[in-house]
Amino acid sequence: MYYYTYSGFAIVAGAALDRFGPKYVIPIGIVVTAVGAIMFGLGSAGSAEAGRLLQGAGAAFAFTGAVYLASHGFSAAWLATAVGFTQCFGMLGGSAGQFAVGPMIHALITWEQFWILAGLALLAIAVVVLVATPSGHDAQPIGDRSSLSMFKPYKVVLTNPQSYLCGFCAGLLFLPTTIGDMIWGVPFLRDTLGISYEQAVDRATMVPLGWVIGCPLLGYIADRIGRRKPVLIGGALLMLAASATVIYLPGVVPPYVLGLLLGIGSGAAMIPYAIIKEVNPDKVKGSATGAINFLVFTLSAFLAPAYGWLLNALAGGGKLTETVFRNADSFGVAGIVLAIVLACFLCETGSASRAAAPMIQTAKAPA
Amino acid sequence: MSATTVIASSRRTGQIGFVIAWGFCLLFYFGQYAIRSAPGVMVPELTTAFGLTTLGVS
Repeated sequence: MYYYTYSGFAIVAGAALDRFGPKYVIPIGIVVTAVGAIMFGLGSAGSAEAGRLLQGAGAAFAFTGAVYLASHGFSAAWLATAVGFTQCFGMLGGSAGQFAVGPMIHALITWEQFWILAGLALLAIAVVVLVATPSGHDAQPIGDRSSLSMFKPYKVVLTNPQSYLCGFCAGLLFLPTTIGDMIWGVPFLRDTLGISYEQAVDRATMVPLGWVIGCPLLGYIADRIGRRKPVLIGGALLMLAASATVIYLPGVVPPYVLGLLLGIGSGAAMIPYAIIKEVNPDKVKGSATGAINFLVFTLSAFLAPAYGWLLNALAGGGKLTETVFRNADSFGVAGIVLAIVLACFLCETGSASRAAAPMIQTAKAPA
Repeated sequence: MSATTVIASSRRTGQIGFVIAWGFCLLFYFGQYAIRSAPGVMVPELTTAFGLTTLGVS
């Protein structure tokens, strides 16, 4: 539900930012999310479902908006760090949604009150963002006021093959977390290691925690050395090593460490978010982020049910055994390998290569 | 359709402004991710309230 409107509105958010600038667009997104949260807390199934759709639609403005603001506020030399730091906050929020909200709704407030309070807090943030955001937007042709023209930047982004490489590379690196860990991590750990539910949850949350460290760290390294590709490929190799050890050699490395390493390596998934802005012209910055977010979320939305289907097919209608998980997870490992191969075809856009090859945006191969 | 007049960009005047706005937007991203994952910890409550699986609202 949530992901359908999220994917669609990722496109709208990017285009709206390029067209109208951030000052009103981002607060509108926050208000939509807030209304969605309050509707969820009203307590009827219908309003909850509609609220969830609104949450997905408004939420699409959060990351796209934050990256848009970051790319205007920071110099290009710090773009990957800023993108990584942004994602780090998202992952922190994701774990807070489980760690803090669980105890909260079982002791302090009812779940309905939680949603209404969350909505009110978001409305307050909307006011602050509205006040704090500078007005104005990037130079663009005026005179063409049709609403379709707002999507014109996508023509630029989506006719650039590098954009697709970025999207699929990032998407594949998200899958071990979004599908492997967040959906199937707990059953996998319980069935293959025979550990308790609570312990499996604790181990599974190591992966998002690793993201919190990995996103800013890998972004910082990429900015410092002025190169994107070695960091992207290095992070993916770390993911490959960690996930292969979890799947094929259980018990070799102490628990918790591998999940953490897998998460840290996954920080590499944010590097293509910086690259896609650099392989496309400045005036389509918002749309470039919208496009990669759309590609990443669409890939997750399609492959999550496909992976469930694969598990069932391998199990032949029977129980999900260790062997079934191991065979299915081999596809996830293959996905990481594919991401590494795709990464090899990306342009190097780091500052170090730009100094050496000023025409990097049109160059076929990195210098 | 092909008008080329260009609105002067005001981005240079507000570098710091954009950084501050980014900081507040991070709060939005934090909250948005929190409410994305929150239904996962209230599955029993939601199923009692709505009489359905949370698949519908996840």
